Amino acid sequence: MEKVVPKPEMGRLVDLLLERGYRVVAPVLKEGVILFEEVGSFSQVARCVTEKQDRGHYRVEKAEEWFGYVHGPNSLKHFLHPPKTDLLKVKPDLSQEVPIERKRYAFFGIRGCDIASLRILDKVFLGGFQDPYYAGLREGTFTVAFNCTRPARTCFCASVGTGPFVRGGSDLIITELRDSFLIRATTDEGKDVLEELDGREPKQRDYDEEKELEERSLSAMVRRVDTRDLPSKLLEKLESDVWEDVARRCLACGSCAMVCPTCFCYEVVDDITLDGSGSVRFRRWDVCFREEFSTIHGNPIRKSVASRYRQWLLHKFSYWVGQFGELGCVGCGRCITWCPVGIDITEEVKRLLSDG
Amino acid sequence: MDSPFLLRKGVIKEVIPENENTKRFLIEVEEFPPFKPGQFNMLYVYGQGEVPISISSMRRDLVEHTVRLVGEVTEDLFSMKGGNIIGVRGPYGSHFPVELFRGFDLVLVAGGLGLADIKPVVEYVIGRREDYGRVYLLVGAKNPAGLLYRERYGEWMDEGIDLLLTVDRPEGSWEGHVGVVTDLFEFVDVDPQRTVGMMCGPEVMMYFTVRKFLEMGVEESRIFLSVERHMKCAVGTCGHCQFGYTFVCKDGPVFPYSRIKSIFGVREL
Ligand SMILES: Cc1cc2nc3c(=O)[nH]c(=O)nc-3n(C[C@H](O)[C@H](O)[C@H](O)COP(=O)(O)OP(=O)(O)OC[C@H]3O[C@@H](n4cnc5c(N)ncnc54)[C@H](O)[C@@H]3O)c2cc1C
Ligand code: SF4
Ligand code: SF4
Ligand code: FES
Repeated sequence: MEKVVPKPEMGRLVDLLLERGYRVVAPVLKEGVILFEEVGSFSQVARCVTEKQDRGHYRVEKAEEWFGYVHGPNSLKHFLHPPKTDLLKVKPDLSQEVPIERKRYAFFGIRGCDIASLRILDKVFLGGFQDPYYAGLREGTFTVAFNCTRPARTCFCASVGTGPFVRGGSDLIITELRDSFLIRATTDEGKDVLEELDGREPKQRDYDEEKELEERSLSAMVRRVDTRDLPSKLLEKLESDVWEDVARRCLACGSCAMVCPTCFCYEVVDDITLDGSGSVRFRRWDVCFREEFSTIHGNPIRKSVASRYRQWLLHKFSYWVGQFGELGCVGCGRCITWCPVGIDITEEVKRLLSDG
Repeated sequence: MDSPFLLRKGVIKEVIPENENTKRFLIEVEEFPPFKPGQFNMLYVYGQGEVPISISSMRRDLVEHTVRLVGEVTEDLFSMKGGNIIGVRGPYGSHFPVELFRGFDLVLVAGGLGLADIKPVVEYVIGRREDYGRVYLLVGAKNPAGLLYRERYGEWMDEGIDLLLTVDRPEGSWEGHVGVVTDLFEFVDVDPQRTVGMMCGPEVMMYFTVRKFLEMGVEESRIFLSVERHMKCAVGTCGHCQFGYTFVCKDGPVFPYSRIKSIFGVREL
C-alpha cells in the first residue's frame, strides 16, 4: 500500500503510534547532536536540520528538508540491548528471579542501516540460544524508516547493501518529497496505520521525483568499501603491518564499539547488597579494546592495541560472516565520525587490501 | 522463554585436594542433563561470579569438576566444603567426538590441567574398550605433583590404556621421562590412516602436538583440540570467547584442526 501524504500528517503519524500504546523513539536535537530518544509528541522530533559529518567531526545545521539528516551517536541498540540490563536476582540459597522488562517500541525516523542493524542483532540474540531480555524489548516493534536523501560524508551503506534507500522489512518506509511524503506500508500493521493518514494515490511524477532523489543520494556517497570476497581476503592479512600502524594512532578508547549499532559484547557483573542478602547479576556493554576483555589467567590474549584493532575490524568485515552469515557492518559511519583521532574504518580496509 | 542465565543448585558433596593449587569437587546437581566428554559448565559462586570449568568425569551420580586456583572466583571455590552450595549451568559446548571413531586408534594428549578435559574421554573409552584399537594417553606436567588423578593410572593401564608420562622438572623420586609431552610421540605406534588425535592443554603445547600429528600423517579433520578463551555467558551472546570466526563457547571448545587451521597459532588472536 502506498500513499502520498501532506507534510503536516507526520504529526498525526506519531500521535497514532502513541495512541496504539507504543513507546515512540525518534531522533531529537539535543545540545547540537541528534539522538534517538523516547518522545511524547511530534514536536520533539528533530526537523529542518542536516548534519555535517566527517572523520572525528559532527555538526548540525539548518536545512529546508525536514529529515535531511542521518543519525547521531546512539542507535537502536541503546533501546533493545541497553548499556545495562539486570539478568538475575539471586539469594544466598540460590533461589532466583528473572527480571524481564517488556516494552513495545515504535522506532520513528530510522534509516536503512538501522533496519539492517535490527536484523543483525536479531541473529545474535535470537538466532541461537534465545535471549529473553532482548526479546522482551524487541517483540512487537513497529518501524517507520526513512529513505536517506542526504547521506553524511561518513556513510557507506551502499557498499554493504543496506541503504541509502531502505532494503528489507519495515512497517512503513517514507521518502520525503519536495512538499509531501511518499509512504509505503509493507506489513499489515503498517497498512493499518497508513490507512488512517490523509493522502492520495501516488502519481508518476512522485515516483520520478523519488527516483531522482535516490540517484542524488547514491552519487553523494563519498566513501565505499569493496566487499567482494572481503571476509576471506582479510583473513590473509592477519599478520599485516597495517595493524601496527593503526595502533600508533588508536587510543583504544572503545568509542567506535560504543556507537556501533551492531557491537553487542557485554560483561556480567554481580552487584551484592551490603548485608549480603541478595545479589543482582547484570550485564553491561563491554568492548574488545579493553585489555581485560580477553584476559585468561591474568594474561590478556590481545595484549597489543594492534591485535585489538584487528579484532574489531575483522569482526565487522570477516569473522561476522562465519559467525552469523553476513557482514557485521551496516555502513552507518558512526565509528568514523565519533573516533576522537579520526580513524576511518573504510580507509583501513582499503589499506589492508592493497597491502602486500 | 527461559533465561539462559538461570542456575541449577549444586550441593558440594566432597572436595578432594589433587595438589597444592588444584582441587576436585563432587557436586550433587538435581536432574543434571546428559553430557559428553569435553563439555563444560559455568560454576557460580554467590555474589562473586561465574567461571567456565570442564566436566572432568563421565560419572552420573555426581558432577565432577577439577579446579585450579588462579584468581577471585576460584579462590572462593577453594574455600568451600561439603554441604556448601554453588550455582551450576550447563553442559555447554562441543565435545570430543569419540563415538564417531569406533575401530580407530586413539592418541590422547594432555598438558597439566588439560587432563581434566581428557579424563572423560578415557572413561568413555574404557566403558567400551573393545570398540577401539590402540589407545594412548600422553600426559605432561611441569612437575610430578602436576600429574593429576595419579591413583587412577593403575586402573587405566589395566583397562588397556597405554599411559605415557613426562614432566618438565623431575622432583623427589621421579624416575620417569623428563621433557615436553611431544617427546612421548616417539613411543607411539599407530596406523596414522586410522588414528584420531585429541588434546587439551596450554596453547603452545597444542600447537606442537598438532604439528606432531600432521608429521605422522594424521588427517587434519581427525585432530581435535580444546581451545580456551575468556567467557562470560557460554551461550554465544557476550562476545568474549571469540576466536576468529568462531565462538569458543558454542562452536567449541573442541574443534577439529581443519576448522581453525587458518587462525590457530596466530599471535594474539
Ligand atoms: C572451556 C573452558 C574450560 C575450562 N576448564 C577448566 C577446568 O576444568 N579447571 C580449571 O581450573 N579451569 C578451567 N578453565 C579456566 C577457568 O575458567 C579460569 O581459570 C577461571 O575462570 C579463572 O577465574 P578466577 O575468577 O579465579 O580468576 P581471575 O583471574 O580472578 O578472574 C578472571 C575472571 O575472568 C573471567 N574468565 C572467564 N573465562 C576465563 C578464563 N578462561 N580464564 C580466566 N578467567 C576467565 C571470570 O569471570 C573470572 O572471574 C576453563 C576455561 C574454559 C574456557
Ligand atoms: S563498524 Fe562503523 S560503519 Fe560499520 S556498523 Fe559499526 S559503527 Fe557503523
Ligand atoms: S578506532 Fe578510534 S574510536 Fe575506536 S578505539 Fe581506536 S581511537 Fe577509539
Ligand atoms: S562466552 Fe559469551 S559468547 Fe562465548
